[in-house]
Parts: sequence; C-alpha cells; structure tokens
Amino acid sequence: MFERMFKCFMVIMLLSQVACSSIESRSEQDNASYESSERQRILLVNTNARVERYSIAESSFSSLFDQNDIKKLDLASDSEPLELLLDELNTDSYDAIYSIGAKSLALIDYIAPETPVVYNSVLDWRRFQGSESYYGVASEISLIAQLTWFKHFFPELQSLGVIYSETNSGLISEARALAERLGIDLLAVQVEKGRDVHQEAANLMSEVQALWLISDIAVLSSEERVKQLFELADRNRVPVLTYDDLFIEMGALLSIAADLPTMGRQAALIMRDVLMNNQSQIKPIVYPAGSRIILNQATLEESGLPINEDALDSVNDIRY
Amino acid sequence: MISKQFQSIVPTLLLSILLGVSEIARAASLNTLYFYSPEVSTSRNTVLKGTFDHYFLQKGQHRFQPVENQNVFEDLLLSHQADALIMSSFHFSLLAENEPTLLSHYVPVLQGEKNGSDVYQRLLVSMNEGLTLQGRKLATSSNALLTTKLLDRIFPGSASTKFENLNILEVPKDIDALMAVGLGLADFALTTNDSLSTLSTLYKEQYSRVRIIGKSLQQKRMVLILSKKVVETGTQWGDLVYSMPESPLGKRALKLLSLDSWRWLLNKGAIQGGAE
Repeated sequence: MFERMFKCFMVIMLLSQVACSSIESRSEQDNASYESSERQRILLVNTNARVERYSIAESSFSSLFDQNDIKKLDLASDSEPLELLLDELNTDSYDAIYSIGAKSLALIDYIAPETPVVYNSVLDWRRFQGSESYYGVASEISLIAQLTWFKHFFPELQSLGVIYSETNSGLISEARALAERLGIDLLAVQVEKGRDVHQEAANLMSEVQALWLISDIAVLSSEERVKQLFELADRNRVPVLTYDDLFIEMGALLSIAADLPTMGRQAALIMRDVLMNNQSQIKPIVYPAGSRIILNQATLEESGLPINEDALDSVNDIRY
Repeated sequence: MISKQFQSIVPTLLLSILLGVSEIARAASLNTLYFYSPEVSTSRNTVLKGTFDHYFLQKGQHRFQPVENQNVFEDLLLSHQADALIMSSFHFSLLAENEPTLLSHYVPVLQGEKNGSDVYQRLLVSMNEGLTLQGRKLATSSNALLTTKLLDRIFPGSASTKFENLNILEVPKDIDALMAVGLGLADFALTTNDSLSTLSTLYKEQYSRVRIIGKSLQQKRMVLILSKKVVETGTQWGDLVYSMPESPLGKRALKLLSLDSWRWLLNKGAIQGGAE
C-alpha cells in the first residue's frame, strides 16, 4: 500500500514539476532586462557553450540585456574557430565583445579588433591587465576577501601557512600585510629548485593551525604532488583552506570560490559602462563580488578548529 | 517486466481517481514545509534542503522544499496549495497587502529570532558619503524587485528620481554585498545591521570607513506560516519547528537561515482548541 501511495505521489510530483517549469519560463520572460537607450550590438564569444561554467556566465550576462542586442558565437561549434570569429567580425559590426573563457580571449587578442572587449573565466587574466580596451572579471576571489572569510568562519585562526613559488611572491607579501590586519600570522614558504618541498611543508605544518592552498602552478604541478600535500596535512592534522571546490573531495576543510552567476552579472555591468562610455566607472580588472562557500563536515570534526556557527548562513553546501 | 510495472501502476491510478489527485497532493502538502526568501540566494537551496530534511528524518515523515522561483512560491501561497511555509516576514506582509484574503487562509505561527531579537534593520552603506545613487553600482543580496521596494522604504517617496539608472549587482550573500563596497566593486551596498556588526568585529579598519547612508525601519525576521486548516488540527508543525534549537541538527538548520530560536505568535492553547 505504501509503495502504491509513493508511486502515486511521484506522479503528482512529476505533474507539479511540469506545471512549475511552465510558470518558471513565464517568470523568466517577466524578468526586467536592461535596455540601452540606443541600439548597441554586442558579440558574445563563448569558448564552449556546453561547458557548465561558461554557459552560466553566458546566461547570467545575457539576462541583463535585450536578446536582440546580442549575437552569440560558440567557438566549439566549428572545427575552425578562428575563421568563424574572423568571418563574424568582417561580416557585421559590433560595439563591444563579451568573451568567455581563455581560448576565446586568446583568439580575439590575436585578431586584435578595435572593439572594446569585456571578458571573464580566464585564469591567466593578469596577462591582459595592461591591454587597452580590455576589461575583465578576475577568476578568483580577492586575497582580502578570502582571508576575511577564513577569519569569519574560524575566529580562533591565528596562524596560517602557505606554500608558494616565485610567481606569487608579490601576492604573498600583499597577503601577509592583509592577514596581519585580521590578526592572522601568515607563515609563507617559497618553493625553490633543489630544495626538499616535502620537508619544508612538514616543518611549516608543525607551526600553523591551517594551510592555505593558493593557485600556484609550481606547488600544484601534478595530481600526485597535490595528493602528497593533502596526505601530509592529514598526518599533521592541519586542515586545508582553499580557493576551489575541487579540493573539498580531497579533504580540504573550506573552499571559497567565485560565484559564477555573479561574475556574469558583473561583466554585464562593465559592458553597460563600456557601451555608455562611462570611463570614470570602468576599471581594467575587478575581482568577483560573489562567493561560493563549501564546508567539509568530516574534516571539520577531525580538525578541532572551532567554527563560528553564525557563519553557516553563508555556506552554499556542507559535504558530510 | 512491463506487465509487472503496469500491474503496480494500475492500483495507483485507480487510487488517484478514487481519492482525487488534488486530495493526494493535499496529503503531500501537509507534510511539506516550503521555503522561499528573496533575501536568501537560491544557490543555497541544496544545503538548506539537505540539513532540514536530515533533521525532519529524525522526527517523522516531514520534508523541506525550497522553491527556486518567487512566482512559483507566491502561486503556492495565493492558490492555498501550501500548508506550511518559512518565509520572509516582509515578503508575507507585501503579499497580504495586495491580497488581503491571504490572511483568512494563513496565519503566522512562529517568529524567528537571532540573539533574542526578532527584528533587524536594512542599511544602505557606502565608503563615500557624498555619492548620489544615480547611475551607480549597488550590491545587494536581495533580488532587484525587493531591492527597489527596500530602497523605497529607506527613502520614502523618492524612488523614481533618486534611483534612476541605478545598476543593481545581485550577489549571493549579505556579507558579499558589504565586502563588494569595501573592495571598490560597488559604490553602495544594501546590507543589514547584523552583517555590519560582523564586519565590525572582523575587520575594524574597513568598518571604520563604512558610512551609513540610510536605514529602514526595523523589520521582522523570518516567520513560520501555517494554513488555518493545519492550525485547527493541532500544534504538530509548530512544535516540530519550535523545538529545532533543542537538537544539534535542528540548531544547525536554523543557523543556515540566520536564526537561532523561534517564538510562538499564537497561544498554544488556542491552537489546540482551534485558532480563530
């Protein structure tokens, strides 16, 4: 009897989902979109519209414009993306380009159109920071925001370790000063050729309450190396705080990543300023304003690091 | 295999016809606590559902259902399909202003509290006191519609001129909005006194630079709304939600909504005897 009731309930839920989806699509049409005073045309170039993070950026950006003002180009839909892009730029004229992903931006940079370019989802965004008429949203949350979140979740955090290579030395000296303002002593170890990283990491972990994993190509050079780092942290009972959800599966305690829909909306606001030639408001690069926070409950219980329960109203997910 | 499946579906369909689909949907609704708040990002629905359902699993057959879309949630309420809902008190008041019959079907039963207070205040803040809102960026964790209504409440009567060409940047969390102003990613933030208080203990230097440009009147925190039909049957739902702080899991679920306790808005004796 219970099974039958359950099936019946499922039928109703399916019916209600169909009803809900039709209401949702109606509401999407109801959403107010920004309309520019003059018709201005945007070319949206997506590296691959089937990649989830790129499609989120595309939809959240597009939702703030009149769809008639945007021409969309999916580079993955053609075996010769450069030709596809060239043809489009030669055939039609656009007031600005919105580029999603590194491949798209690299091709646009190669063609070098005179049109201003707004971009996001590019890990190597620093390369374009000085380029004229290129405006972007960085891929990771700013240092101060990351450190502030760490302190918000773990108010008793007073010593934090980080391993980095020379490419991030500027970033680390900035982070050290910011951490000090939050009452955190940042102990940083630079990876250098010929030195035993494993031993240095082990020494570092004996002195800190948590390890901050940053995006550093030399430190995270291979999956094996990342695994070793996590095993070492686990042995030393040092929780890892990081910038990407990916590391939660490996046992990281907390990840603070950029919220993808917010990045798309930020790009849309930059685009509005570009189209309105609102120079005083435009910056070459801005950091993501929205965060996506994942907490690892199992690691939390093992870590012994007390959590601020009031901070839980900011988590997007808790992994058990 | 097919015939076996078909055999199991037939009684279900017959039962649907006999009881009427709406009656079964009604039975499902009685055990479902719906949730929507224009002030809570839908990107947090997964963690809310997981934690509330985990708590409810310990207590019986109830389930928690966050709703993604504001229109869908309002339809559930306005068509009286939902029997138990947690929602923003402000949102319920707005709906009741436009649809007074709502109050003849639903009644607020529990008032959410945080640190013993059932109210909070909306603040418009900036790092620069001299800025006008026109053409500027405003970071907010509320959706665009609610943001405009909240600004109306902060600056009554001046909405149409004062907020012209305002660029609203919707962010997932209240503290994100506040940090966006601190980092120069937005000119203004619509935030709360709770978040500002957090910043004051966390990052004193930035807090000292924040200027409060406008304040709303005090607003009530989230409420538990029940249909009068449910209220007439007893205090089961009210008790279940009220006792959340007594278990670690319930307490955690409440914290996810920025609450730590509930207060009865109705006399329990009156509920058991049938509320007016």
